Amino acid sequence: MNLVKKQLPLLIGMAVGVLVLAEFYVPASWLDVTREELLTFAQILAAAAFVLGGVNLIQVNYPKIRRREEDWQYKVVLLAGAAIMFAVGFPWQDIGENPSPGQVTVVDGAAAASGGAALLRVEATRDNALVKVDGGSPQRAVVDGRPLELELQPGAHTIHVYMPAVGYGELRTELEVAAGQTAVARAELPMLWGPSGRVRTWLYNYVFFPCQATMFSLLAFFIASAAFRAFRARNTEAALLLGAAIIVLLGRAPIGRFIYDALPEITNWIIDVPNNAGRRAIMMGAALGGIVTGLRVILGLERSHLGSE
Amino acid sequence: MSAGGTRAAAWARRAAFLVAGGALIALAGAAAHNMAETALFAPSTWFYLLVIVTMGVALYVYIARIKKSPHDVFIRKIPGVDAIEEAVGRSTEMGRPVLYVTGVEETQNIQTVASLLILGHVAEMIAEYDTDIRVANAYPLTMVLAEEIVRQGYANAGRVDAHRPENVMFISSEQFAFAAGVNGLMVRERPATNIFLGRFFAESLMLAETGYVTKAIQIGGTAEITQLPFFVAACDYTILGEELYAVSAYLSREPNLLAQLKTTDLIKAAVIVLIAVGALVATFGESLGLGDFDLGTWLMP
Amino acid sequence: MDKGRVHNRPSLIERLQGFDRRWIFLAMALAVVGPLLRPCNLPFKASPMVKALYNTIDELEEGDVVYLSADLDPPATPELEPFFRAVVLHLKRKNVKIALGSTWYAAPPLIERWIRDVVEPQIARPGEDGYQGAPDRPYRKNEDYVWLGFREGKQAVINKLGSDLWGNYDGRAADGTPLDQIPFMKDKRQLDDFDLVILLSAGSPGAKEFVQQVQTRYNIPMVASVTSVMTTDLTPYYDAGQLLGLAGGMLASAEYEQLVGLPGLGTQGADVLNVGQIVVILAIVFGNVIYFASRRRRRFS
Repeated sequence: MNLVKKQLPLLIGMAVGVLVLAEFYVPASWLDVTREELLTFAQILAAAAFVLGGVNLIQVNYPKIRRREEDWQYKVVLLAGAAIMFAVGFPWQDIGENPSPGQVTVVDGAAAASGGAALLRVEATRDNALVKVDGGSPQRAVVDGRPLELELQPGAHTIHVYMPAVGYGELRTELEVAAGQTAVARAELPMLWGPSGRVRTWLYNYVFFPCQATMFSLLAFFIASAAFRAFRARNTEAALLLGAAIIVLLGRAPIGRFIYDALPEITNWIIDVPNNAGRRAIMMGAALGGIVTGLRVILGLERSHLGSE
Repeated sequence: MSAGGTRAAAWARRAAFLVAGGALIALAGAAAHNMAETALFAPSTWFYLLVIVTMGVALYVYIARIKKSPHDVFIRKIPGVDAIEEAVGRSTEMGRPVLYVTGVEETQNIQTVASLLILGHVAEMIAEYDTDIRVANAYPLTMVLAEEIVRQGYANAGRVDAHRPENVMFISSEQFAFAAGVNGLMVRERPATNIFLGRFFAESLMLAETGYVTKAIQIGGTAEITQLPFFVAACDYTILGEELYAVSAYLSREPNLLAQLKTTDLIKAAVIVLIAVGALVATFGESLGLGDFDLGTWLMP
Repeated sequence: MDKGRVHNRPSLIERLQGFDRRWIFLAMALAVVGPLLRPCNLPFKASPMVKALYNTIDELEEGDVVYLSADLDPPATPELEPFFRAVVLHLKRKNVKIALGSTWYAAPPLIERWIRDVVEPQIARPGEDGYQGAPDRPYRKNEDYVWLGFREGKQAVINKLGSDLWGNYDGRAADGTPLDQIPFMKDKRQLDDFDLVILLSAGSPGAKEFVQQVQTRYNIPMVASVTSVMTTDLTPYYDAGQLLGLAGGMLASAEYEQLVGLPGLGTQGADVLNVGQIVVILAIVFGNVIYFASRRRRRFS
């Protein structure tokens, strides 16, 4: 059992790690191909991890709901939210016959068209559909409850019938009409499901986006209160930090140039010279630490990621 | 031999090591620049290969040396680490739990690995002090590993019966949902100590500020440079950058981990010397007859 | 009448020490809302990094193809959306083809909206909204631009873009169109084949990973627009010439809007930045006043 749980993962880790590392130094084409395949594996595993995460979400939360543990109601909300997003994100219309967005038929006879012209009639199933002809300005497809009728010059045209909101099928087609003919564009514009579907986009725009934006905007307040609390000139270093912070804050804002003409340049100097020097040192240290830790994992010297004995 | 003599010998060894290292780089570089590209080796990558091989060899050499005398390795004090035990003691006195956050990155990220290593020691400490822990994780796999590590920590302290798996939680993989969840945890459970170790992004300040409001002692550590200023401003103790990788070595004094520190220090010393030499060459190169020789391009063509 | 009790009213300093931070929150809220309702319109000048970015894009020629990676989520839109609008206008004016992709799962709905609102329609007409520059034109899907979609895998995806972009996207655009049927994508098999890579980055994976994984290895011309907190992290790459231009934050987006001649959200936001940063400075000053006053009081009491 130890072989499967410990030795085998270590061996696989070592082999893959050495292969990917070697590809950087060895120009042999078979290594390149192997690396490409490994990268593809990594992509697939990363995507599969989402599925695993979903299963784990249920495994972790469902028993707590069943046992009515503290705050179990929020876990119901959590699982319901996950289920709803999964359901609306699935492209249901791809199962079975894909609903058609519509079609255009050309018939002879264009009674309403003036001599030498053809007619386009747009019959859209949705009232607020829009029409673009030859990439021009959009027009409403339904005018006073009646289908839009437009005169077209004989020849080839492109028709685009679509909804202003995302998540509906679009009728996009090219057609050729002769004088006196009528092109009837019957636009079904079915509501779509899936990643670009109507419901998922609505949930993204009106639930996910505002929630994320709200949480992120809290930072503006937290920064001000953290600055009030933390930037106190307790000693020389703190005073230097305080002074630099004020200069950089002012220099970064347009108002800095009004206070002192050279303030933005001083700010850039602080960022480009002392800040960059310290930052590069920390970056190098952290990078070296990361490389050595990674090397330890590849060489099998680090086993904590395999779990306990 | 007198102390002064021992010191002189140590410096002589370092100087010899420096000269040997410089000679190795010069020889390897000269060989690589005169080598044509073959299917087996791209000469333009010679310096990167030298660094990786040096790191690998140094790791094994140091592990062997340290195993013989583990207490001879000096690690400077890291105030944030020393504060962990004090903070755990405070939690015990106040009867409130310790909150440990492993960061918002996946398990394979180096910072998360470092955080999980430290969690083992913190869990053992907490088991010895008979206080409670809450571990908040952003990924299910991290939660699974963290739970095993915490259980192992309790087992090492002989308190495996005190371990409660439900204290190790998966909150959310979504960054701000995670922040909201952990903030809620802090406000409801009022931990006396918050330990944020791992990779953090924009939520770092949210977590630290909420922790401040709940009057917890806070220890923050990350190698994410963009978030360090927020931890410095909002936490009582900060573990900066690569100190995160050093903490587990500091606490456990395991030869494996100490060797990592020594190896990193060795390469850092080499980088410092190269930067100094490169700066001198760039500044005085022409007057030394080196023309427009650029050390950086010579090392990494 | 209470004879035995002495009423001690706390002094001003004592009351200020217990200052409720919610007053600071209120001041910040007013600082954000005020300039949006009453713009100050303070002028600003484009920084050297933003000018370098503008010049790099200005050097592109008609028919060139750029790869634009939008790695962001909703919170980053105030800082990055103004830049996206301005840079797409710049590209459309020059008739440059655009291939869009992303490595963040939250990005596609945003990018699809931006494509509908910015890429496909004409967005700048001389004389409208004070715009005096050259007009752009509507862009057609799979003729002038292609939306390749999102791929999970973080650094693995970025790495693969450098060597096999078609393989990364399974040879198809997001709408299923085979890439060999899109004329301007026929010979664009890897990032190196593009004339420029433009990065919109809100975190990780993002600009830093692109520079580390592909720019260094394949020497690809790259420019980046990032959130302001990431600017100092990426400045070393700009200084080293690995990034040909860098726009950091909302102010840089406003500067870019100014350079292309189409003021928008970024320019509005610059006013908010002004006032907001003054509030932060006043909070710092106020905090120090309280600190020194209470220290003085302790010394003399």
